[in-house]
Amino acid sequence: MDIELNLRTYSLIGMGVLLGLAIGLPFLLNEYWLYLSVVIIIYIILAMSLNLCLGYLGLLNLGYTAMFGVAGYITALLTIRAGLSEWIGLIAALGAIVLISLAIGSIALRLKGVYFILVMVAFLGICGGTAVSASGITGGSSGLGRLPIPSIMGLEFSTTFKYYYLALVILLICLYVVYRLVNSRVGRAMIAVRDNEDLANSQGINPLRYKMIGFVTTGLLAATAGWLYAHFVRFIDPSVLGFSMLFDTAFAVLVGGAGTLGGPIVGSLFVVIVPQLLGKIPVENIEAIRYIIFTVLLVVTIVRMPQGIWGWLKARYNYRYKMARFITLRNPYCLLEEDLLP
Amino acid sequence: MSTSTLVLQQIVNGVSLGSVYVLLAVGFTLSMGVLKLLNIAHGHFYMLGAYLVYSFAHLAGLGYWPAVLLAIPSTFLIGALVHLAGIKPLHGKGYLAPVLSTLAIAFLMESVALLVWPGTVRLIDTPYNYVTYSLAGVSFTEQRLLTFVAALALTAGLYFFLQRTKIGKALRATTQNEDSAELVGVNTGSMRLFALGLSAALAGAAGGLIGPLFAISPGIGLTALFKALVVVLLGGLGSIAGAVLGGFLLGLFEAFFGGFVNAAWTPVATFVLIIIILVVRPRGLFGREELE
Repeated sequence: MDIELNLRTYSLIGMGVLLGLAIGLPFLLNEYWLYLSVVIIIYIILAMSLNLCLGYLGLLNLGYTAMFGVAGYITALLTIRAGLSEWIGLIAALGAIVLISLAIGSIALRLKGVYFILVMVAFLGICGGTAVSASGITGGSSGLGRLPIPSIMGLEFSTTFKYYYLALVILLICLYVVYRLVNSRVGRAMIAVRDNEDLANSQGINPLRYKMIGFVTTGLLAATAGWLYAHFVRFIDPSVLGFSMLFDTAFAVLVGGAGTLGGPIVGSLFVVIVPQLLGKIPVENIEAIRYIIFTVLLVVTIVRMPQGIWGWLKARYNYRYKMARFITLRNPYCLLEEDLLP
Repeated sequence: MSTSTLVLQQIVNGVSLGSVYVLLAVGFTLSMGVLKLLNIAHGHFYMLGAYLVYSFAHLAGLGYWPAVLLAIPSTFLIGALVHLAGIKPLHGKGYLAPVLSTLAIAFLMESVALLVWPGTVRLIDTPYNYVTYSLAGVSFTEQRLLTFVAALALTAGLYFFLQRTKIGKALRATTQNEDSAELVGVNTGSMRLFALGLSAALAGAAGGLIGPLFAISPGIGLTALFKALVVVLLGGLGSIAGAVLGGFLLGLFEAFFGGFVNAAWTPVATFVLIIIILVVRPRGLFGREELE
């Protein structure tokens, strides 16, 4: 009991300090690092989206950047082409993503293992192909520009300084929602389905239902990040559906630690800040070299430390957690459905 | 050009393209069968194969065919290395961890390609691209013909290797039942290593053969993966004969869709095809039983 109380107090104090730091940060940073901080926040939300599906449901959903991109395109089209408010763009994007998630989920979630991965990859391919080919609507490869700056009751988030706080508030809402979700009955049911679907089913948990809840929430998080991104850089093009966005956020989740709340945060900080430090090294092709370093790191993490940085820290400093989750921590993917291939 | 000639032309284009898809997909389905693995890096072996042929042919000054012959063992070695570093350590730890690992390796191969061959797309220049044959109004370059013949020859070679040789039989035994294969003395560990190397070499050969027909860029790896996926889904996961039929079907589908509907929408149509197949008939058009 004592230990539990202490842990709770410590983590509350820790969270308070972090929150204070996040609020005070814009006063300490210059414009460039402030810009990166907003990017980090967007990455965190997007990484949380993948993490919910991969870490808590055990589904490798590679379609989350598609949801991100589709939401960005919807708000861009509504605000630029139809001249509507950016908040209507947000609501429309979230609504559309719920419908799309329900439709694609009802196809994909019935399929198991690799078949699920295939449907989601195909979905990403359809979105990417449409964004390029339907150039009359989406602007093709050159994309859509000059999105409006969000404003609320006369307060316009026109500077990076102000936008940071908008992003921070949205991030905190997302964190709270995900925290409540994974620590609720629904979250426990999701983890039960992840660890043993047949057992969960026999205990009266409908796997499809909880997968669907997680899947739709994944889409909503990605869509929120997409909206935030589109109105921040005020430009959207098919590259958001491509390689680097998918890689950076997948890296953030896997290296940070899948199936933990802190993992995507640690991973996103890493994936944005480290390249900036590497960029200071005067070597040619530093961008390609950084991808090589990162991908090697990713392979090593998956093979040697599947619980990621945050999972490793958690196991090291939290005895109770370590005992309860010993097997899962060794490899968060090891308790899943096996041998789904011929 | 009359409609029937146009149709014939698309059939010729589709079949020659399809022969390369067959080669790409038999390797994919082989690694799937033996390793029980969805290898996301498969298309990237194809991409590396194309780049290696380009480098051997143009930078090292070898001819086109020696370059292809050299690229095949090179991609075999790369495949074996990938297996040792990223797939073997995760054997027996569920299906998801190795898939994630091959995803990371695919990213790695793409970034290596970006570093080694930076800048614009590459074109493999062969003398065969400048010789055009014409038959009943249908025209095709000698390169297309040679690509088709070489791809067919390699696929047939693989088929006989799997059917007739001892290693081939051991590979099939590992596919069917690992424990039983172990019992009769098959070293399934080395079979898995060999299968991944072989599948990488086949993908590399496919890349080298199609390189002179299309521009090479690091992004073709992912496209090739999608094509291999469609083919094995059409033919049924793990079935070599299905992959052969599926490869030609996809080649014809692309040629006809591109020729008669809209070339720009061909990739999207292919992805829609994937989803339709998965919904309607997940075992594939020719798969015998549903794979769970």
